[in-house]
Amino acid sequence: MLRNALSVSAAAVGLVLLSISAMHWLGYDLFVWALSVQ
Amino acid sequence: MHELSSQLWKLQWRAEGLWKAGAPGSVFVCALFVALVAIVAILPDAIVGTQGCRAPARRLLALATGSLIAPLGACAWSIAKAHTRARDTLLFGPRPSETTSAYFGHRDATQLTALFALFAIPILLVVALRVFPRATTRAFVILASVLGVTTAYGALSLTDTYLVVSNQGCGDPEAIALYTRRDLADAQRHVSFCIRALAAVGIAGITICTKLASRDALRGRVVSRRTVFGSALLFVLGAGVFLATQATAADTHRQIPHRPLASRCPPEAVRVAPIQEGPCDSLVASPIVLFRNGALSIDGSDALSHSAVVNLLRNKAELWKQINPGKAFPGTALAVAPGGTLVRALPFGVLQEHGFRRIQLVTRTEPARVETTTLGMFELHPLCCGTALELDPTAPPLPPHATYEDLLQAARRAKQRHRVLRIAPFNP
Repeated sequence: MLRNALSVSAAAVGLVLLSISAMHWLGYDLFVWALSVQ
Repeated sequence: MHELSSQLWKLQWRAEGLWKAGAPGSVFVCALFVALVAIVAILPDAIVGTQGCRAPARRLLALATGSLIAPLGACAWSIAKAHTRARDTLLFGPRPSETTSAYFGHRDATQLTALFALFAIPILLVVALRVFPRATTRAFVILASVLGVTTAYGALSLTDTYLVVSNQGCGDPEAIALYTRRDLADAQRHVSFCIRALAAVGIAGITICTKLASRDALRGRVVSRRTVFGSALLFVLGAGVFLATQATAADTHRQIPHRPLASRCPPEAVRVAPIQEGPCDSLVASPIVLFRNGALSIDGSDALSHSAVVNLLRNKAELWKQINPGKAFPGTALAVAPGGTLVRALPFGVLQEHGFRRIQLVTRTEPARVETTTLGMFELHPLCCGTALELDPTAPPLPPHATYEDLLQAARRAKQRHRVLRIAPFNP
């Protein structure tokens, strides 16, 4: 049971972290761009 | 529907620009796309575990999912390239035009990928729900789809900010800076909201998937070693990317300080003008007279003799009248000099003779800096402002040893009394 639960939750956590990182990465672009015109 | 047609119109507009902008870059992206399709087509099978499905359906779904991941990879490559280029231009110049063009390239790629994902993910979801019989796999696929759609929509909304910002400011650098700061604050709120939404969806999805997986185990269905390996791979990838983007995440939420002055320093004034104290006005677009190291220049042209000063001022006045026929000549000029400069060294007499009677004494703000995690201490472009005075031959003259700093103090005192300082210019 533990193997099943860990396997699927690890994959799901990986997906969530990837999505959050993508949003950070895209938001960072705007920060650098905004800084470049200051 | 209106939002969708608006996005499609923007996509068409941007795709045309991308096509015209650089064929070699597009060919490289396409080649990368094909390579990534080939590589990642085998990954979904390992990750989600498609045992029990018919082989053709399984392969078709694996290929379709791979096709979705491929442009995301191409987009990530484009963003990474834009990051490098933007950081280089930000640190070593020229900015901001190079930085802006770098981001417009990556914005097109992001927009294209996000729209593609928004269309493709629901279709893949429907197919996957038909192919996968197990509740656990279905729940995982639904979670992946919701996360994907949320991220894609967040990315699409962020790329809109680029369009909004690029259409504002009318070429005035400080107006562009002001609008960009404001829109960055909106974008940061948007990113925070998207991340909270992703976290909430993620926690709910993880809970449901784990419960379903535990139920499967109680019924004797144990996941294969291959699936465990795929899950571990996805976890390591997610955790690695998350850790690698921690520095950018810190900067993503960083504020750029608000600066109340509305004028960017003319290049001539950046290092020469004294530091401002107290209130002052925005600079008026006028010829700039710079006095430094005993030499005069007007709008960057050296004025080494009295006749050169006269010629330059006369040309400036005539040019203004030609550009603005029928309008009254405003007669304004900007004066910049180090604080210790004697006022009698400044060509106020010649300025007054040629109609430049309203002078703004230029001062600058203390350098503003932003401490960033990824770029170190970043110095913002200095801002300048002006304190007005009027040249009037009938006004009382200044003491012969008055300096630019003395003149500034007098002009400030007059401004505090809501008046404009009037002085008689020294005649050369």
